[in-house]
Order: sequence, then C-alpha cells, then structure tokens
Amino acid sequence: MFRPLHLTPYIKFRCPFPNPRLFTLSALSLANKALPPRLKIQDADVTISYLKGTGPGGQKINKTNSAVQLIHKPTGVVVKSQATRSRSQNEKIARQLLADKVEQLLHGDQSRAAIKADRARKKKASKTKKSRRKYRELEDGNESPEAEEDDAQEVDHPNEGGAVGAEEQSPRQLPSQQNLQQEQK
Amino acid sequence: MPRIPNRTILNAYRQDPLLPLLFQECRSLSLAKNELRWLRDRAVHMAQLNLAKGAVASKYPFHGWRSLLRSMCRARSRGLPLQYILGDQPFGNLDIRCERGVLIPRPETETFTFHAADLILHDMLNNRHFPAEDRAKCLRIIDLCTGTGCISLLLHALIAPHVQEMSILGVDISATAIGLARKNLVHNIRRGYLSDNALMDITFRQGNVLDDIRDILGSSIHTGPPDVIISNPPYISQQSFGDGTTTRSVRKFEPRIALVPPKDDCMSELPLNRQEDIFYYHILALSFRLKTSLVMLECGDLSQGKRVATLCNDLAAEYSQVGNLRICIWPAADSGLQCSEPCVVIVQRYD
Repeated sequence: MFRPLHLTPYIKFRCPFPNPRLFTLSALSLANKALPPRLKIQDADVTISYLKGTGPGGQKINKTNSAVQLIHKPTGVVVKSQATRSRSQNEKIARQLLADKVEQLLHGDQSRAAIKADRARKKKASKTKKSRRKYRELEDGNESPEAEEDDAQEVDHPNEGGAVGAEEQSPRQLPSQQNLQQEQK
Repeated sequence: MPRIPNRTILNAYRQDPLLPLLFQECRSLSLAKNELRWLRDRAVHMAQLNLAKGAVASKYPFHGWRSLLRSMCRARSRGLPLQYILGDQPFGNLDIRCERGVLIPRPETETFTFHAADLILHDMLNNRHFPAEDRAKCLRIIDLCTGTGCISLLLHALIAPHVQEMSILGVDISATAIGLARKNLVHNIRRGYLSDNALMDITFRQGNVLDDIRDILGSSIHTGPPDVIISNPPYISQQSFGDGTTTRSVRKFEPRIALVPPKDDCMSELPLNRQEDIFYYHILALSFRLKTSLVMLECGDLSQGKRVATLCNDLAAEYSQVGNLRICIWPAADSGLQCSEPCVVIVQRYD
C-alpha cells in the first residue's frame, strides 16, 4: 500500500477490488542455464545441392524455387529448406537445421535440441500444474470465500468484499468446472 | 507439359482456394504453396503500408489484403513472373528490384557470381602471377549485359571489403535496364547491403556490346584496361525460344532482347555457325584485345559451353595468345551437371 505513486499508476488506493493480484515470474531457474553451444559443421563434410528442376534452366526458365538441400557426409543426415525466396538465407536455415539434427544424432539426450525440447516440456507441465492448482483453489474458495486470508485482512467490510470477490470469481467458475470435468475423465 | 490430375487440383483447392490458380504456373503443390505464402506475406505487408499511409494510390486497386492477394494470384496464373508481381528478387545478400522490361536475375547467375568472386579473391589477388604492386592498384571489372545490375552489385558486395580500390562498369543496351540498375544501386546502399563506396565505384552506362563497345570503354572512368570481364549475355537460340523449352512466363513477360541475340547480317563473316553465340564472339574478341586476366561467360547449356571454349581457342590462335591461357567450363561436366543446365566458361590469363 505504500508504493510510490508513479510505480502504480493504474491502482487506485481506494481499490474496488479487494486484492490486487501480484504477479510472479515462474520457471526462471529452468531458463537461465545456458544451452550447450551449437555444433560447428565443417564445410568439407557438407554436400550442397540446389535442387534444380530437371530440364533446362538459366534464362529459359524463371525459377522461383530456391530450395537448398544439405547432406552431411559422415552421418548421412539430409536436410532441406525452402522457407524463403533467398537461396543464401535458405542455406543458412538449412545449416542450422543440419547442425541440430547431427548433434541430436551424436549426443542424443544431451544435445541442444533435446535439452530445449525438454525444457519446453517441463515449462508446459509446470504451467498446466499451476493452472490446475489455481482452479482447484478457486473452486474451494467459492465454497468458503472467508477462507481467503487476504480478503479478511485488507477489506474493512468483509460482507461487501465477499460479494465483490464472488462477482469477480463467477466468470472463472465455468473454466474451472470444465477443467475438473476433464480431470475426472 | 504433363496434365495435372483433377484430384490434385481438387486437393489443392481444399487446402486453399487460391492454390489452383498458382498451379497453372507452378505445376507442383509444394512450389504453389510456397508462392502463395510469399504472395500472402507481401499482400498483408502492402495492405498495412497503405493503411499506414492512408493512400489508395497503388498499382492494384484494392480494399484489403485478401482482394490484393486474389489479384496477385490471378496475375500469376496468367504467367506474370513472381518477381514482377512482388517487385524484387533476393540475389546473394542483396535485394534486387525487378521491373517489366528487364530480365529477372536467375539463381544460376547468383551461383556463378559467387564463384567469380572466389576466383578473383583467391586466384587473382593471392596469385604470384598477379604481382604485388598490381594489388594496390585499382581492380577493374566490366559487366557486360548487366540488366538489373545484379552481378555488378553482388561482386562489389563480395570483393570490396578485401581490396583497396575497385571500379565496376555495367553496360547494357536497354535504357530501362540502366535506369533500373542505378535504382538498384541506390536501393541496396540505402538498405545497408552495400557500402557507401559503391556509389563511387559502380557506374552503369548504356551501350551496345555488338557494336560500339570500345567507344564506351574508352570514355569510361576506367583508366586502364579491365582486369575482369564478366557477362551473362542473351544466349537462347531462335529455335529453342519457340519450341517450348523456354517457358510461357519467360516468353510472354520477359524482354526478348535480353534472351535471344539479334539477327546479324554479317554473321557469314564471323567464324560462327550458330547465331546464339554471337555475343560470346564479340566479348572474347574484346577480351583478347584488352588482354583481360579473367573472363567469365554464362552459357545456356554444356554444348554451348563447349562451343564457346572452342571459339575461345580459335580466337587465341588468331590473336597468338595461346600459351598463357587456361580455359575451363564450370561446374565441371563430371560433377553431376546435367547437359541442359547452364554453365560458365572461365578464361584465365597468366602473364
């Protein structure tokens, strides 16, 4: 309540909502650990082919397809990119893809791509877990609104506050119920 | 051209109603999808720009990006090249503007230009045949039949960081092409793809390679003979322009003057039996007179490349400069090059 005014321009002191929600950053511990460096692939190991169509080319045909295919000779990994119209850009993208793929082949679970995927999965799992917990708490809170500590402390008139809180929570009832139903299934 | 089965077209229509339009030109689903993606990105971008400007003054009358995209797809289905619709084509790290009346840069030319820059940097500048006192001197490059100016601009982007001084002269017969080449030069400098020096180093000049090329070179900024001549001249024969190997889109929308060499009355005087090789004769003769150290000529296919190499040998004998020449065709015939794909004839001179 004693925050300087300029930091909280949108929160009025006589706040209509009983508990201004405080935000917390999550999953910091997962993200801040550096990924292993990208694998450097030697130019000599890579065969580049520009996937020209069969038949004559050059001035006779105006090709818009600038797909680039890279083959990593030692492992036999093949990668193709046709994301952009620029051949050099496509080559850059294909090289990155190739490095990721080769690394995954060499290092398996310890590779950059695998670690990235693992982190994304963990983050998602914790997110769903948190949201599930939140809806469960909301569900519990609906049944007994006075159980919420913040409400009891900050609001002068608990009856009014409870009414406002219930109004605020009512739109969230629907998703919470759906969530529960999903869980039951 | 093989017919596309109805089932394929129907499948494409289910994915996006605009895909069958693009099928008429692309003939393959993956390419049609790619083109649709690029067109859609551009349509959305242009619609946003127009919204921001609040102006309706555009090439396409439209209300939003959907109708714009539809009109783009319709133009594409009639064979209008994608690069003319979008107005640009990536070339190396550059962005080359494309307009009607000027040949669109081809990906093969891009590959050849990279190879040319490699040759110039590694073989010429680091070679003992190229004396050290020469290296400090200005590197002079002439790009004949420059079109959009793509080769000149990319060579400058690739070589300029490694040499002290260089000057590039681009020559083309078409005034439209010269105008567009100058526009491209300014455009790429403004976008930061080329250094500011490029404005001083690169000049474009109108001129006829078959006729008065010496006058142009004489009056140019070049203080001496050029070190490198590079060219992508028109090389399609009259016959293959008409017999279907040249695609509809190219035939209908790209300038014929940039594709097919003109009929020349004095053909019988020249040691040529093919009219499509006429540019090579003039360029090679020029290079022998000026004693250029590197000549790179793009050819339509391997047989034309071989003809040009033979022509080069004959001319070398005529000018009695046989001993110190190395003539080769790149990419080499045994490296999986198909006979019908373009190649480049490289003539290197060691003094």
